[in-house]
Amino acid sequence: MATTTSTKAKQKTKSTIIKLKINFELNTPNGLRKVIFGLEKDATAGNVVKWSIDFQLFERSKKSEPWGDAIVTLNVDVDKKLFPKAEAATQGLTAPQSAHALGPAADDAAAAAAGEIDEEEAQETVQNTLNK
Amino acid sequence: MKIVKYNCGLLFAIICLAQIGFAQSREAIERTNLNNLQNYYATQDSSYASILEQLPEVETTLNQLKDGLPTAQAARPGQFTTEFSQCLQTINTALRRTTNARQQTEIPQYGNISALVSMPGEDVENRLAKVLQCTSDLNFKIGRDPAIAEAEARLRIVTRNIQEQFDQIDLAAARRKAKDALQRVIPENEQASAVPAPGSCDNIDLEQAGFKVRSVQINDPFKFLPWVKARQQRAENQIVTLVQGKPFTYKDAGAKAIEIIERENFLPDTSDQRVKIRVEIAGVRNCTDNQVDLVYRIYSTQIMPVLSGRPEARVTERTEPQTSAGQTTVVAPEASPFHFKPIAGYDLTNLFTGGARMEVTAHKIWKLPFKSVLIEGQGNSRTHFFSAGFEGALDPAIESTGWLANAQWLFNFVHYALPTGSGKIKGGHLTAQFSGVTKPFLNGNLTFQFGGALDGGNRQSDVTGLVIAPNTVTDAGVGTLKLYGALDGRLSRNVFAVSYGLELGSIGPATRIDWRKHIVDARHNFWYPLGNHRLLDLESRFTLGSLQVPGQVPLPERFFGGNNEEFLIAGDTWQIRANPVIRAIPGSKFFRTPEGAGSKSFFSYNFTAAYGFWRKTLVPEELLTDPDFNTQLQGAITTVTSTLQNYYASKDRHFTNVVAQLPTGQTALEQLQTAVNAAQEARSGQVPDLFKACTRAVSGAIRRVRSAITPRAADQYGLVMFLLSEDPLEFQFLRATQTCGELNATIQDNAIGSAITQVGTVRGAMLSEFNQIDQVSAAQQAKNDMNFTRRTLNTLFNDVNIYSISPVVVFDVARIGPANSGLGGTRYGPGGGIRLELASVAHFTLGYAWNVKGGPDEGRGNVFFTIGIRDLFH
Repeated sequence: MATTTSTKAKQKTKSTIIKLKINFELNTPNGLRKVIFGLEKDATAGNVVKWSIDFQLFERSKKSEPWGDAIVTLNVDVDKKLFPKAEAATQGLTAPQSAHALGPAADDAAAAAAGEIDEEEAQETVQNTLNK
Repeated sequence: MKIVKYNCGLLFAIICLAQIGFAQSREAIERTNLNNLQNYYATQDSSYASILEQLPEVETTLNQLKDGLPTAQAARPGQFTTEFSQCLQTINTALRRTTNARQQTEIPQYGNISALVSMPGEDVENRLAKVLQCTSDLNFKIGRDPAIAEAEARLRIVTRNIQEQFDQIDLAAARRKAKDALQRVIPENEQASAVPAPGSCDNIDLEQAGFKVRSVQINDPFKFLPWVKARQQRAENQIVTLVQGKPFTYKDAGAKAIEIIERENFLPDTSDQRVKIRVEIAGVRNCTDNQVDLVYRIYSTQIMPVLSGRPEARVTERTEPQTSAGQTTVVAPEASPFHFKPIAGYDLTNLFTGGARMEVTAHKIWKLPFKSVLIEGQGNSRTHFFSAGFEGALDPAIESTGWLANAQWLFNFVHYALPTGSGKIKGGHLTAQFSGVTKPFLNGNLTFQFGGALDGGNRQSDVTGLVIAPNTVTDAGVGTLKLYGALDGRLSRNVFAVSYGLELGSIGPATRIDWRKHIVDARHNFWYPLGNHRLLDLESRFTLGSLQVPGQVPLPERFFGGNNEEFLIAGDTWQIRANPVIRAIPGSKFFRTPEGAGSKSFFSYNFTAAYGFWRKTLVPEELLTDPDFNTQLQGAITTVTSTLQNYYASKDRHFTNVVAQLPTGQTALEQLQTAVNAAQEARSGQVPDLFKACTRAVSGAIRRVRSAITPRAADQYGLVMFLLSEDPLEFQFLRATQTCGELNATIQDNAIGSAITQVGTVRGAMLSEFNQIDQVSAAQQAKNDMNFTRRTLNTLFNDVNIYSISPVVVFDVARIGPANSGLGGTRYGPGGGIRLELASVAHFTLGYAWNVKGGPDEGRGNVFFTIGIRDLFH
């Protein structure tokens, strides 16, 4: 049993959030590619200490096939200057942000996976999605 | 100082008004205050000031349209009168909002401005878009009036500018400021009570304070589903091994534990295409004795992207939220393709009936166009219903420009027997059926459903002592053609549907029409929380039927009423009721007319009110009262809406024109690259930084153009959009021409100069086309498509309970005709009962209704009881 016994009073104590992750799933029109744009907020003692993006790109050859593992995964620590933008993005990506995630960000993620550009460059492009 | 005083005054006024004006709960008042304050702080954003600067232009342009329309109408006397009138009304409303916005300040002004624009995730008025839509439509119809066209073009530009500025308002920052401000003015006594409760972990750095992990718990509202439970247990065990009994670290308790949860994938793909939402939260609580409990919460939902507003779907949300949340159709090893739901019922004539509904879902059934097998049966020696068949569907395509959202077909066999108290009426037939549902229209509020079915089989009667009406036979082979259509809609707390069905029947295999049946079935469900998640549910259903018999009709095809329900298409999920239902009369005992057994016309009205006084919410109340949580959940729908908007924009013919010019853009960039390379060779070692910046910008832009021409991993629309942007952070045409222009300002190379000009010319032509894409229309289409989904999500998270107990009040009225001397006529059935809905186990309703002034052999009342057990394989 993973949970130890605790009193009823303890059960009612409000929890303090130390990490929050929201995953936005974006599908390309042809249904063959999708991007999971995961926004993560880390907090210590209730204060935001870090925002990061977990960006995953999936591909499949047929719509009827299941998605396999992500072909690219990029973890990006969001620049402090962009924290307000990250906070705003938890309310949903705007049309330009969605276009950027599926466009330049996915393009650079694939290019980094193919060794055409540095991973840092791709991470920067992914992070720039918040700026749109 | 003045600002501080003003803010305090504003806060005080808002709080007082909120307290006086509404008898709200404390949470509701705080939420109202918070929203008002957020709006206030939004007005302080620099982007807001830019919007204000453009209001005079909006007003002028709207006035031009207002003046231009009557002139255009005068030139076309008697033509398009309605269109002119409606459009003028739309313009006047937008003009009123604009004028008010110009005359007001702060919160009222913000309200009027937000009514002019569109806001992701909000049901707003969107007045400017409506004006653009109506003027564009009108001008097209009247054959293009130049004055209207010019004013419309101006309005389109200024609307786009305002929308862009509005989108840039940092609402998150405004909300934070609002929260801070609200906290500062909480009365002192409330502050005293706001002292952290014993065991609270607020404001403690647990890692630094040397806390140890006491326990680990993962909460998922759907953990009663076996596949969720298995994954939860595995994840919990791994996290326990990682942290329990060990010193607390934020890395282990946060990132590493969430990674374990994600690896278990609590949201596998479904057998159909859905909009997915997943929120994971790691929390700490019970910070006592230098120990802490870790709590992980997972909220995952996947909703069909295009839903209809059928009342049946609302019932499913209430009784089986796991089905609405897409948790029972996941493709996971632990999730069986078999669905098996036991069902049972009781009434005074049918007595106890038992049965089950079984479904096997598979991607393919041999090579046939079906994807599931359905078998349903319920009955006893007195009554039974049995249906078995194959069902196929065209998966709803979220991203398609067609009008059809979903199509289904069914091939099945049905057999039934209903007790009338004087014997049974029976029937059996084979059915081939097709049905479809359109995408939402009328601002995403309505869908239209349509269908047809061909039946062949028999109708039999095993009755004694009954008068058989003229032109009626007791047994016959029959063939029927059924055609039906329905309008349905879903608003935030209302679902309604109106269906019409026509049945054309013949005795034997003939092409003549022996009888015609017309059915109208209207349903309305309304629900409202009286208290937190204590829902008042009001369900109404009105059914009307008429039978015309130019030839002969089998007795079971006449109308037999009572507690038993008959549907136009038996076994279909779209239930068009086809007989008078009154719960106070058991079985099918309401049928005696002066003509004989079975009526030729009827109506029935059934009302059910239930109030869930005891319940447990699907999402913990602690989270539901957090305004941010709801916003974040809505964020997923907003994101899908945004993606859909881009999709519709990419279908605009102007975007096709842009794409056609991409190869020219690529050639121009490559010429620039060649010129730059040649210049660099000729000036070896000179201005290396300028050459580097130019070369990088050009090669980056070329890479993007190539990807845009032949997209590999990325979407073409996004690539093109940012290629044409002025965003300095992107690889785009302008960055290439600017950086190479800076280089050329120093080296003065003619070849580079002309190549830059060529790139600029191509970009100008492409941008001109891109800017003509009707973004307003694309946004509206996307919003329409997602309206039902957004409302379903709201219901699922804000209204649905994992269990609830509700007292129920029922009232039925039914009439069959013709009527005379106590035969036929109207019956009334008031009653009451109790309803239990336990998503993890079962749902049942038990009640009694009185047959006030009942007819012969109908009985004085009826006990009705239905129970549905949860899917045993899920």
